Amino acid sequence: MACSRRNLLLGAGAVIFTTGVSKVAFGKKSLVATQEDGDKRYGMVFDETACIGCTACTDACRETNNVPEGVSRLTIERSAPMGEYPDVDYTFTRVSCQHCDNAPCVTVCPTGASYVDLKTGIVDVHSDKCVGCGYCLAACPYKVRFFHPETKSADKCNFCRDTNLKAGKLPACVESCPTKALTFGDLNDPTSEINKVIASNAVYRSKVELGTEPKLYKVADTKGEIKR
Amino acid sequence: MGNVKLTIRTTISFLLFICIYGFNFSVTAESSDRQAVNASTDSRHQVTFIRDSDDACTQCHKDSKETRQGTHGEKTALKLGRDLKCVECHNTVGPNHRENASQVTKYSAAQSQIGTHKTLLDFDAILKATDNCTECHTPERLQEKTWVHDVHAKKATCSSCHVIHADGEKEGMQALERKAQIAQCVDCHKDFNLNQEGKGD
Repeated sequence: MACSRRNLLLGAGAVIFTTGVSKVAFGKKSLVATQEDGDKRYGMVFDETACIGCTACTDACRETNNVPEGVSRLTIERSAPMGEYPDVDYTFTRVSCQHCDNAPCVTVCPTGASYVDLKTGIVDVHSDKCVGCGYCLAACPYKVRFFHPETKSADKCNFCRDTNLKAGKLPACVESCPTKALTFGDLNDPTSEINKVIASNAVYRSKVELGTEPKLYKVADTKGEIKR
Repeated sequence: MGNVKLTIRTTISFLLFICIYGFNFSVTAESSDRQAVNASTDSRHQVTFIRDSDDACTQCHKDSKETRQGTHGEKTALKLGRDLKCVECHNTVGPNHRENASQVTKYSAAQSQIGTHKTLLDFDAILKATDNCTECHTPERLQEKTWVHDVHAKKATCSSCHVIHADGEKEGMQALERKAQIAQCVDCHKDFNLNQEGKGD
C-alpha cells in the first residue's frame, strides 16, 4: 500500500478541481445556452396583422435560393373566407423553418447533416452529408422540410445564409415584403429591432409546448380563430 | 225545262268540283314553296332596329365601341342575348353632357387608402361606383375567380386593376403573368407604406 496521506490528498484535490472546473466550463452547455452565449442568435418576427398575402416573399425566396418549382422553403397559408360581401376577410400565416434552438430535426439526424450553426443559431443542412433517410422530415413538428429534387438532400429555409445574408443583405423574404410584415435580427442583441418588435407586440410562437424553442415569432392576428 | 235545269245544275256542280280540285292543287303547291323559302332565308324576316342607340355617343367617342369589344364584346352579347349599350354602364347622361360631363357615371381608378398618385374615395363611394359591375359580376363569381376581389371590395374600384375599354385583347390585371400580378400588389401596398412614413417624419 503505497498510498500516503499526501498522495491521497493530492488525488482528492485533483478530482475535486477537475470536476468543479468541468461543471463550470461545460455544465451550462445545453444547446439553448450555447447559442445565447454565441455571437448571434438570428430570429424572425412575422406580423400577421400586416401581411396581405401577396406571396411576393415566396417568389423572392425561390429566386434567391434557386428553389425549384414543386417544392418551397416558404409558403403563405391563407385561411378560408370570413364574413359576407363586402366585408369578406382572410388571415395569412407564414409556413417556414422556425429555426428551433432545440431542433428535433437535428436530434434525429443520423449523419450530422442537419445542424444548428452555433455562430448564428441558424438551423441548416450539409447537403453533402445528407443520405436522404427522411427522419428530419418526419421529426419536424412544423412540416417545413422537403427533399430538394436536384441535390436529393433535405432542404429548408436557412435565412438566406449562403445567399443574401452572406452578401450582407437581409433575407429575400424580408427585403421583398411590401408591407414590412417581416422583421429579421439578432435576438441576443437587446437593442436590435427584432427585440423591440417582440417587446411591443402580442407575439406567439407555434407549438412551444413541444419544447422546440422556435425562433420564429408571430404577431397574432385579431381576426379568426385563436392561434398559438 | 226540266232537262235544262238539270244540265245547269250538273254544269255548276262540275265547275265547283273543278274549282275545288284546282284550288286544292294550288294550295299544296304554294305552301310547299313557302316552306322552302323560309328554310333557306330565315334571317330575312328578323326585325332589327335601323337606328343605333349608341350612335349619338360614338359621334364623339369614336373608338369607345371598338375598344369595349375586348372585355364586353361577343361573349357578353352571347350571355345577355343582346349587345351592351353605352348607357347601360354610363348612365345618367344629362342634357348638358356636351358642356360638362360630370353627370355621366364614369369608371376610374380610385382607392380608399391614401396613395401617391391615386384618387381617394371612401368605402361607400367605392361600393356605389362598383354597383353596376357587381350586378353581373356577382360577389360569388368574383370570389370564385380569386380571393383578392374579396379584400378589395370596399377598398378599390374595378378600374384600379382592370381595363374595361381594352384595345382588342385583354389589358390590365387579366393580361399579366402571375409574377407581374404580384408586382401590382407590391406597387400599391408599398406606396401606402412610403406615404405613412412620409407623414410620420
